[in-house]
Amino acid sequence: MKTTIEISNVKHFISSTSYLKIDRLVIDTMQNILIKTKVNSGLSAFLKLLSGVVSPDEGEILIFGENLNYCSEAKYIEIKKTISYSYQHGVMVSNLTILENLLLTLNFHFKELTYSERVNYIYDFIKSYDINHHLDKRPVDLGFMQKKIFGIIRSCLINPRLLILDEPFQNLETKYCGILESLIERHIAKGNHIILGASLNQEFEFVNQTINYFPFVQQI
Amino acid sequence: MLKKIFNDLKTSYLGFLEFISFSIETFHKFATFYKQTNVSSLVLLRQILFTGYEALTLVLVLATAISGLLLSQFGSLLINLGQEQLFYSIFVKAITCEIACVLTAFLIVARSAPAIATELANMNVNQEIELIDSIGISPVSYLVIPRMIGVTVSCVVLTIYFNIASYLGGWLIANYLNPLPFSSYINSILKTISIADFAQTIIKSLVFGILISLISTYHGFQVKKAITQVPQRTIKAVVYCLSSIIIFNVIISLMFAIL
Repeated sequence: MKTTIEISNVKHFISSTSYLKIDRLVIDTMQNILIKTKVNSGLSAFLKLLSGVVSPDEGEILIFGENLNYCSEAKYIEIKKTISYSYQHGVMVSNLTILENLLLTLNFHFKELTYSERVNYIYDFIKSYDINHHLDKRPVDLGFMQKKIFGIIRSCLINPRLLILDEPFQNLETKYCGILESLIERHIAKGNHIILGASLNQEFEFVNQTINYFPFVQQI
Repeated sequence: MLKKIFNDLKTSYLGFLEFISFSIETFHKFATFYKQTNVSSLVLLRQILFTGYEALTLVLVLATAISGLLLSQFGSLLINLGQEQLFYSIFVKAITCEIACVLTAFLIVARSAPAIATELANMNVNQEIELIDSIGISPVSYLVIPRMIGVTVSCVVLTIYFNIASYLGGWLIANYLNPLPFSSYINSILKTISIADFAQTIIKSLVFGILISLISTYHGFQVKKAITQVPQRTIKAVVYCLSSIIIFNVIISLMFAIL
């Protein structure tokens, strides 16, 4: 499997009047990348395109050498297990509890594990963060920051080779910043990589100064 | 004016084509549904619980009331006309072939169609469907097929339950109005009811269940970003469900009449 994401002649509408246009861009995913953009310049749309969450209106994106619109189902699932996107606002399935939300990803990608093994894996994964008591709650009962952290945890759980984080530090309190830094460290320590997008200057500076895993900064 | 009519017709036609394409995709994915049962079984169970189990009391009350009405209105009318031998034939035809499946389907439309359409529409607005897709799970396999199976199974089971409740409720009311031995009543019903009547009720409930689930999920999926579209699509889902039930009921009844 290739390790690049190649974008060719892409035009993607963000709203009825504005769109992203990229003629040619090749991203090597075997490194950690910090992307800095201006506010409201379509960062989320760009990151979603990179992760294959949305398809471009025009042009082609090859993720690890595959166009997700035309590849086989097995290949599609393999790529979805390799690359994980975490939403800026911590999206969760509202009619499931937090535990069920986390299990959803594991149930799909780790069918070989038993139910109790999956649950134990989740509890082990988050045991040092003191957030276990939220697992039985529904997303509506959680605050923005808690949802965002659990959204990132869900993305990390399957140990994707590439984790794409959309403005993860934005509006996070110190406690949750600490959890997020730890998650990023753990993820990179396993030999995986991260693409982190930031549009606010303070978030960009924070990531740049606090986390030492981003030697390559791409300004778009 | 003509241009507006033409545009409306064009929109309806394109919408219909899109619905057909959505239905084909659903049936295509249905073949591989078993691969996702580990994530979809919970959705299926919840759908059966909501659409089927929670409607049992309502169906019981409705079935008893309808059979009571039929007995009190038609029973006395047929006796007055001296045609009481036709009573069981009319009663069985009315309940098994028409009322049980149509009223059960209407009840499911009233309870489940708006719930499904609203839930999926809100999930779409909140990017939850996009999230499910981003994990690699097919939204059709995870959200549509379990609902289709759940609603269809519930529709069939509730229709059978409606039939049983109607006949038992009918006896209770008939016995109250004019004492009638249970064995003679049930024997007359069983003699009158044919396999074709039973097949008709099952086929209709199957078709209605599939229609209700497909139409309501389709309209839920059509809402993209604006929350104002949610009530509009919910109303459309209910209206289209009711219309299609009436149309398909006529078609299936005619088919059985011809055959």
